[in-house]
Amino acid sequence: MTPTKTKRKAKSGSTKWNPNIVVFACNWCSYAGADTAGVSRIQHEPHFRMIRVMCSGRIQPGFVLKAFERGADGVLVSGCHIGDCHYIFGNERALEQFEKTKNMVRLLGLEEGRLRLEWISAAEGARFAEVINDFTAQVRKLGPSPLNTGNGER
Amino acid sequence: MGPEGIAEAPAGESTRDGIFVCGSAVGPQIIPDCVAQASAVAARAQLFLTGHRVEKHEEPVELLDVTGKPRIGILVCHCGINIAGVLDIDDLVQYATALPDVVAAAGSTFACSTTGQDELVELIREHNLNRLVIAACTPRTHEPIFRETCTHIGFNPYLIEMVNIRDQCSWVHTGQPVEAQEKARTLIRMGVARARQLEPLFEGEVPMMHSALVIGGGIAGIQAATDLAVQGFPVTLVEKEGQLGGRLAKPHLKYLYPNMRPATEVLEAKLKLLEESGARVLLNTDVESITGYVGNFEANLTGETEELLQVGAIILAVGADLYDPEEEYGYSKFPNVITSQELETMLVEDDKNVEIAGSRPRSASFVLCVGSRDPEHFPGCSRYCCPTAIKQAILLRRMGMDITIFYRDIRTISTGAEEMYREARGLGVLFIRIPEGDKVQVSGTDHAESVRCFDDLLGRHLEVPTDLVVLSVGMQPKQPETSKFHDILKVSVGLDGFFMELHPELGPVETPVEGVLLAGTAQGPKDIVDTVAQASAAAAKASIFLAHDTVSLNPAVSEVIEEKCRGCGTCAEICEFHAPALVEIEPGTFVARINASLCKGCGTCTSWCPSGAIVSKHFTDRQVHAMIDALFTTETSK
Repeated sequence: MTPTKTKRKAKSGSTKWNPNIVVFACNWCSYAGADTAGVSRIQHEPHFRMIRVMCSGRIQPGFVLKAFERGADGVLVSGCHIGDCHYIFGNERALEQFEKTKNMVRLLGLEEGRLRLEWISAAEGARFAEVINDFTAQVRKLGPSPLNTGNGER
Repeated sequence: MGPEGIAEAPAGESTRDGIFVCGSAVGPQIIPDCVAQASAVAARAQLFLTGHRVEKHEEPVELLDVTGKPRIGILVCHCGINIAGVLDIDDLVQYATALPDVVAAAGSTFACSTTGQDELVELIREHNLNRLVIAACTPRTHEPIFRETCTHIGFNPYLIEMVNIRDQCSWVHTGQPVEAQEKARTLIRMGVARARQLEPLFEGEVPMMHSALVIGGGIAGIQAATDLAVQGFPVTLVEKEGQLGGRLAKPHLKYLYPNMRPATEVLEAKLKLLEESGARVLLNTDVESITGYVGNFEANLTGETEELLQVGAIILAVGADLYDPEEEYGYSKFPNVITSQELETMLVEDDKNVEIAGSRPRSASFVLCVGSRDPEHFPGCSRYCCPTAIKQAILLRRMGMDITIFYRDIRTISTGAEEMYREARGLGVLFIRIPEGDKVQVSGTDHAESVRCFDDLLGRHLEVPTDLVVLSVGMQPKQPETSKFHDILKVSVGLDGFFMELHPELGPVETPVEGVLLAGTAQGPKDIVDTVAQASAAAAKASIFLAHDTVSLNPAVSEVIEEKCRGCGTCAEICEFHAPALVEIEPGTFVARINASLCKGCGTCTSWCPSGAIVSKHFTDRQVHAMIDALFTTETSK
């Protein structure tokens, strides 16, 4: 195993620093919304990586914390709109989990803006792209995560 | 063809036996109604085809050995130019080759084509693979295809990982090929990391009971039970009351719009078919509780018939209640303010003569949208009330009364209803539009004497003297039945309080609970025509379950590791499907166990378990963590 040891620093000037964002998405709505963005060829920021689970209710605090621990600059948790959950109330459970996660992230000393929750339906391709662009801009403004140890991919 | 040039076949049957029509060919309708109607005619067509089903015969395949160290193969799809036009496929293949446990990597022009599938099978066989990564499009549409191909050759379909480099990469980062390439590499790296952690899963099978329970003996229940019984499935129709027919039965309904067919005639015809079908009818019988799952429900019947009934599928046809206006519009104060249902009952007794407190009214006013389109009661439209009010208005007008209808919008969406509206206008029925949010005032001393309102079109206040006020009441969820079956079956209820279908277009009569279907007004207000169509649709969908000998169970569900469980019951508390339950394994010691046939695999219990004692198969902590690790590690050496 040879992890790269590039130091990541926000550089001013010509080279724009790009954040590393992890997106957790439920299979039925948000992941499908990202596919819809694709089918409609709605271009958006590429600096995120998606991890699919069946329901946003599956997204436990440990996943988000692990992502930050490994150096994520931002984490987006997404699911079906309230009332639309494929599993009836999974997203409401996700919301409760998210509140807990937010508190833990705050305890770690990370800015609140690095973690976001969004409900995106399977039809909302344009909204998915918007959320990604907006969140990328927000995280870019915050700069590299203070937890980033330099083992990141860039 | 009807006069409008549209096929005249309200319930799907045409004037020729064996020819059915559905969808917009019958009349303008929205997609959910089209889908329900299409299922309904399929059920009718089945009646002709009983005994001629094509038996699917599959040879058992020998399962490939997938044990041992991961041997991962990767297929990177070009998808013509969809992916290859943006991403460098050769680079991705080369990159993938260097990832841990990868023993083979290849490109494919179209991985989902027959040729692509052959290449895939070849790759598995040649390299003796036990994991497969397919970098192509979205698993939501294409995973089933790859899974099926793999199942055919005995390769466990749960050892496939799809990496979405088309919909979520080449299509959306077209102008940024460098970033897109890097993203694709990372996604493949994450996919390989997950594939290393995948475990083979096996679909369980449980026997399917070929019988059905229909709850509710209104027109929806009668239709659904008949359609199923005619196909040879044993059906039990349970009705709480002492007679069948619901709102179609005496003394509820005189004529059906728009053809003015007597309700009794229609009901008798339907009951005759029900009797001939051989369905078992239990009157004065209620369903106390239901346990189990698709293929194996157990219903506890109480009342006149008490028994434990085992069925494979359940159709909920509990119907709807009518809105009770209570004090509104002087309803309980004035004897000459009645509901549309009360007027209908009078018409059942005598459709030539209406008497209120011994005298014949010379004028009548109809108030529409009572209890409908009202955020406080029912925000939706009850659909049946406009045509019903117009039908009643025509009948009263023909008795010589002066009729005024106070409305917000006239909604005559069902076949023939608009024509009826025009007929009413032609007969001199007055229609007065009141503004949104406004209500008419009914005034009088000991009985209603006039209706006051603001006329939206004239822009002025009006007072219309009247001898009779008819409140066109909307529909409400049937209580306590709706809450009861929501609780015991976990069928979801929408914001309006009615049972909610799985999906308006993709599953208009299905529920999230497999094997439980919805028929009629239990799902939302509708008229008789739509109710009959929907009931047939529910029967058609139920017969799809009942025709199978076994039910396959999704193996990607949650499982409790009992040694780690401390029996706190959190999982049992949060699960909407009652899948986990606490079991006392020795006196005082409880552990949770998850019924795999009830579990939907959402994984919410896994994330909530304070002891980390639950595993979400196919989405395990280990699999998700492996992806996160791979995302942040550019590890390429083996």
